[in-house]
Amino acid sequence: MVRIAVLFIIALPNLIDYEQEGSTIDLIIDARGLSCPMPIVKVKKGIDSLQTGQVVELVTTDKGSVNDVQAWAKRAGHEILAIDEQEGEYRFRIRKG
Amino acid sequence: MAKLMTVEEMAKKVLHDKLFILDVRNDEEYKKWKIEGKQVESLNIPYFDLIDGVEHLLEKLPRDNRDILVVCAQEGSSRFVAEKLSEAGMDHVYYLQGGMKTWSKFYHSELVAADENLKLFQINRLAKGCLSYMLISEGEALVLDPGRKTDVYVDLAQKEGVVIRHIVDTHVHADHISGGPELAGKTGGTYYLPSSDVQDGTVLFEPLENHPQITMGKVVVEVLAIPTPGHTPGSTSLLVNKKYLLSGDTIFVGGLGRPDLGGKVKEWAQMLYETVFTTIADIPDDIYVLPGHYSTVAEINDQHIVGDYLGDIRQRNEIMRTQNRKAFTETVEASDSSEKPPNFDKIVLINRGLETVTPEKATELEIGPNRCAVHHSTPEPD
Repeated sequence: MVRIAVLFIIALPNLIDYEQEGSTIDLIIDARGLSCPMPIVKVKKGIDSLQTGQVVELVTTDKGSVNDVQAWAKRAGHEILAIDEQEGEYRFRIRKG
Repeated sequence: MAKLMTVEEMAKKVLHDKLFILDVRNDEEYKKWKIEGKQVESLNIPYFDLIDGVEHLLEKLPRDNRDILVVCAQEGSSRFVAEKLSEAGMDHVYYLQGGMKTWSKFYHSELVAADENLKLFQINRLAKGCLSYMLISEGEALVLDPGRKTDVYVDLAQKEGVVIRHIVDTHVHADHISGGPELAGKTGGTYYLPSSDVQDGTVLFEPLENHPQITMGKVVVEVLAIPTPGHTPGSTSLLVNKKYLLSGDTIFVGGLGRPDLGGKVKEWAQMLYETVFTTIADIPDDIYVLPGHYSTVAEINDQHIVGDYLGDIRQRNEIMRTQNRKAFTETVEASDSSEKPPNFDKIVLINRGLETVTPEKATELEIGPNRCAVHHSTPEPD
């Protein structure tokens, strides 16, 4: 019981941060623990299901994804709204172009 | 099914054979650093352009009997693409085991000379263009400018049945992390460095300048340490048996070492001038130069060795004949505006013993080409 409560408190500030930033996220792709090429394979599949202008958030732990996601988005015509690194996790917010 | 190719297998092809490389990293990484060979043709298409299919790529691939090797940073993406190519009916398709990361740590040994007094190996870290050496005489060995993967030297010494007694760094390197201290620890050999490159460093070493001659084996292999400052103030070259000049980063087959990596480009450019027109000028043309680096595969000769006679190097490189001090220093100072070796400032700190990193971090810092020559200031057209 105690453990669950602690986890919840740790998770909470993250959620609040997102709401404060105000941008709507239409889809979250969790690619943590996956290595190249899977983060991009997954986010590409995800973004294909969205409408132009909608936003996907991708979470990865693969360092190589930082450059690759940017290069891919540029080529595919999507806009990177934010990249954030925290304790080995990379969060990308990408608007479909 | 796409097949796996090891870096050892690839090295053989890069040196001796034809190979077609499909590099699926992003174009920025490809432009900075790629696999090169005299008979290697390469094409860059990022893997994320191939997720939906490889059909549009097929016409760009060779249909002769060359092997097609797909390469990426680690392995995953190249395997992903290679499988797709196989499924599309392509033969001879391979992916590189461990990708560029593993390639960056691969060393290839080539025998340069062997007579009754001396056996000399050049150890080429092909991915970076970094060269190190092992000199063997009467059961003893001297290792020069060892790279970080010290097992390579320990294994070679074992194979040759010799004991590593001396380990020398010609200078404090800026492009790779020295294996010197670790190799000294493993073998009990003495680690030598020119003191003036270390200053406030904490690395343990024997001052190289205190040893005008290092003898080895029962037969005296004459190893004269010649100060050749320029690339760094302490840079030293070794003259072996009045026949081979192990020139560190002072002279390359393709020119001179850059003097700008210590933040004192004007001062070091003057040192380089003095070195070229006093110390080096006295060395005869028929001395064979074996350098610490190369920057293009054109510098590898038909015996798969990077080396050339000093006379031929002087002949080919105008800068070594530019006696006008002002013209000389202005040209070599221009290297300051060119791209530096990746992470060079941090690598220098590590080599001086002022910083330590994990092996994983060290691998990451060293990824990329060496960029130690003056002529990197005038990049060759792609």
